[in-house]
Amino acid sequence: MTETEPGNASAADAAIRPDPERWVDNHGDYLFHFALSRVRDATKAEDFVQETLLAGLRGMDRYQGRSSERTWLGGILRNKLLDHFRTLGRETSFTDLDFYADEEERAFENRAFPDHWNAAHAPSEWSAAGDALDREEFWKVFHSCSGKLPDRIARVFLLREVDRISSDEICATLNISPNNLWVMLHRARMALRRCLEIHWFNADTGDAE
Amino acid sequence: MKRFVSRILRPFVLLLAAGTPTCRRVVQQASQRFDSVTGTSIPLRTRAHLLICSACARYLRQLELIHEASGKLAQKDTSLSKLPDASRTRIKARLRCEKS
Ligand SMILES: [Zn+2]
Repeated sequence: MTETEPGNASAADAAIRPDPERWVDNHGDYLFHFALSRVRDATKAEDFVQETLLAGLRGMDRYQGRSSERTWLGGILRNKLLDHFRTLGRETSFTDLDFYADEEERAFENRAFPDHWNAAHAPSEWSAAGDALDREEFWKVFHSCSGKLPDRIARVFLLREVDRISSDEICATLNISPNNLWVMLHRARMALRRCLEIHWFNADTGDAE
Repeated sequence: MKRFVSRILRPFVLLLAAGTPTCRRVVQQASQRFDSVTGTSIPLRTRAHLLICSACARYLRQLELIHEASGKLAQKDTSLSKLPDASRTRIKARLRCEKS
């Protein structure tokens, strides 16, 4: 951590003096939700929120209002989570790659045409898919479906699809091969798609599993 | 009725599809397109598959929707999980202590 020059600091101070305690009220839920969906442990998530706000407090002089407070704090949290994942990276186990393997087998179990969709598992048409993203309930289902993914599968999915971190960077951070990453992302998407189909798009037709 | 017709037609459709990549392969490729730095265009043989296989075509559309939704998730302000009040108080106290 480097300190900014005293001159700059006092200039920034004079411009705006953010109140760190107010951060808790204004951004606490946002940061907590962000951390919790990635570490899946409320105590750890709370620690991350606290560490983020402390780092924000210490680095306040460097924040000059170029981005919104939330974007700035979110960036600090994101870096803290990446550091955390970096230390966990080496633990990636093969069971993660097994996730959904059976389901994938069943999805493409087709005696007449091997590796083509099994009729019972083929994607069905999603009605009103275009409106889904405007519905608050859709986001609840989306959240609960992504919450069902195993920890590490969910982690790579969130890093890739939500945080839009490059595949290369994810591989380096988590210390996994590109191929493993692809398998994990592919299975995550398959599982999420299936879950959304059952719990959102077909929820009212009664032919859920 | 619709279901009956599609059941009759299905083998023919799948026979046509047999000359193109398998559904399993198409679905894998579809996922990789979101992640690889090179080649986001769909190969010709896969395009042919998508023309005759509505299930895979749907799968691709649905993956796009999931991709779009995930991207929006980061911008969404509503927090589904709330920071507990006790944690709030604890963190505020810790910040006060750090400030002074
Ligand atoms: Zn297909």
